[in-house]
Amino acid sequence: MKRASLPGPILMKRVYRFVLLVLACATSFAFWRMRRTVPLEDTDSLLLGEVSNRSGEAIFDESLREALRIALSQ
Amino acid sequence: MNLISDEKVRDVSRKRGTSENQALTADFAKQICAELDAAAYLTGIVVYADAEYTVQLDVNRCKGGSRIADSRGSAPREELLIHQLGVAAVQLREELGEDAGSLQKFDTPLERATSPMPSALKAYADARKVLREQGDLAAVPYYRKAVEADSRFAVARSGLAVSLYNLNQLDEAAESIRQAFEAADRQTARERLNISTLYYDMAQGDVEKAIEGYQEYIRIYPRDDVALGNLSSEYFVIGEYEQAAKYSAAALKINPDAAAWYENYSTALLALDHPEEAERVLKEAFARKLDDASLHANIYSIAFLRTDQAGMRQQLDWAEGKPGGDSLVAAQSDTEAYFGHLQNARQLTRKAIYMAKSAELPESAATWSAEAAMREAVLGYPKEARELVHEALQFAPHSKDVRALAAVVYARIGDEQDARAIAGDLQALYPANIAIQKAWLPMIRAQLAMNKRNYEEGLQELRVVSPYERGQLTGNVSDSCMMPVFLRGESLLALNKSADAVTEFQKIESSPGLVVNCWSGSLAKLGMARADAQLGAKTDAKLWYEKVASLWAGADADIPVVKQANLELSKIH
Repeated sequence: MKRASLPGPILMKRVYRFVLLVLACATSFAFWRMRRTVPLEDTDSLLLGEVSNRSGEAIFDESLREALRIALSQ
Repeated sequence: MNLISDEKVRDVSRKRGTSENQALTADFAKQICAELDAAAYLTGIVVYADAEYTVQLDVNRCKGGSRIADSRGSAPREELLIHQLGVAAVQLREELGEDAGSLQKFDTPLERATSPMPSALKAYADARKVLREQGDLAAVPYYRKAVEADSRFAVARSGLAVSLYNLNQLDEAAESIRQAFEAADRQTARERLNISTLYYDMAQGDVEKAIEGYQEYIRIYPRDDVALGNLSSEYFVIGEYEQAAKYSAAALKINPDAAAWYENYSTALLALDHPEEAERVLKEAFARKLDDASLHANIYSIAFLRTDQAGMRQQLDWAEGKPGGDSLVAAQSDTEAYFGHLQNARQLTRKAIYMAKSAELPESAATWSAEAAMREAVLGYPKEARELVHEALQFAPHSKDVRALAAVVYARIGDEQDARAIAGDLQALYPANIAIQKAWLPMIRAQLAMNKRNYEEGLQELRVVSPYERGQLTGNVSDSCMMPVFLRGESLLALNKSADAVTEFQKIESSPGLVVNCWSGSLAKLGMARADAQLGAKTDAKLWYEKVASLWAGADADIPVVKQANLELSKIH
């Protein structure tokens, strides 16, 4: 029967909710100043878009995105 | 947080009427975010200016597009850019909320998790892209290029192993996953889990350890369809089709764009004799524009079970010139042999072998040859069986699956020295392999005992096989002739234990979705006839003989088994 090697949807390790809460309180002012929003929730999904290659090196076409997928799936 | 799979992106792109290869620019990512149920999208850019490479990564929220994380890295040389990309990715993980302990634990530098060589990484990326778009056969040359550039590129080695496995090149797949396994310092913790499980699965054939490994993998990554789907594959080997169906359905639920899980699920449903459900699953795959020879092979099997000639022909027409088409031609060959059209079957086997060899799939060619040899052996053609088995061993001399089947054929036709030689090798070379140790070797020994009329000894050997008697024991070939059951039936018949023989042949008879068009399907009917005749159940025996006669109505006249069956029928009249 068929096997697969492709990584499926990737579950990244997440901070516990209460730690997030404490961190969120402690850093809310800084976040506010930086006009940043809170990070994603545990159940949120991330769409991995393109890594546009403007280096002039064709060898980086697609390959950096693929490497990034592996990097984010650790 | 989950990364959206590329298959899902392709599916949404297709539904929107845009090209499946549309670049995922920030604009396009933002447009399709909602349809993908994504919360954010990540885009990046790499530039070369002032004698250095710079990579910038941004994560933006889908709703409103506000930036929630960013990072950048720079490198003076292209070889160092991959490392810097990894550093930038860690920074992003941190900004997105991953805790310090996790970041520290899962910290394999990217140049080690992948390759420090851009040319190897490019070939790997090409392999992944081609795999998604064209399938395993087309991906293999790119994987090979990646591992030629970096021989310790573990993820590329494991990708190559899986593609080769899916193409029935099991011996080479085992070697490739072994090399990936040995490059332990060149993989992330997650990939290590995957590779070590695949190693027990493909290289060692240790089904129990592989199942434990996949279960652990699922415990840590419950939303990973690969672990679930690959676990389902293990249950086919040992014939636990309920479990195979359960896990392949779970994999499919997570990733409904993976052709592999449609194959696994539909095959499990077929084995459980639910052809209607199997057909529904296959239609879903085709509706998603997924295509693979294995899906067509299952449609072919369903058509066979319904004696739908037009349906079978449709799938065979599809197979012409297609990658993997050899498997459908081999299936057609089995169908012809099932009905006693042995001359046609032989021609089709030659065609399947030719197709496999042309596609540079020597182990597939060997498998078709060895399976045809088994057919010749049971139908009473030892010379033809011997020739085919020699040929099979030339095509794939190191394939354990081909050698195991070859040994049974040798035993069956009385070439006992050859059978024992192979059995000895297999026993020594694959000590942890469940299919070899618990099924093939006992079957070889049983057949050798049967040759000497030591039927009780044969039955004793076959007792070990009982838990696996419904398993799909030949590597990635998704059929089962239930050979141990057939041998048991024959032995019991020889011992005049007719009622027990009926029980065994009935097992085959009542598993049409598993046996499909295998030779054992037609010969089990003959076994039923003989066992009933032995029991003195003349009416039942006649009924079975007539079924056999009807099956072989157009059979080649000179087949020894057919002639014998007709003779027995005439006597019962």
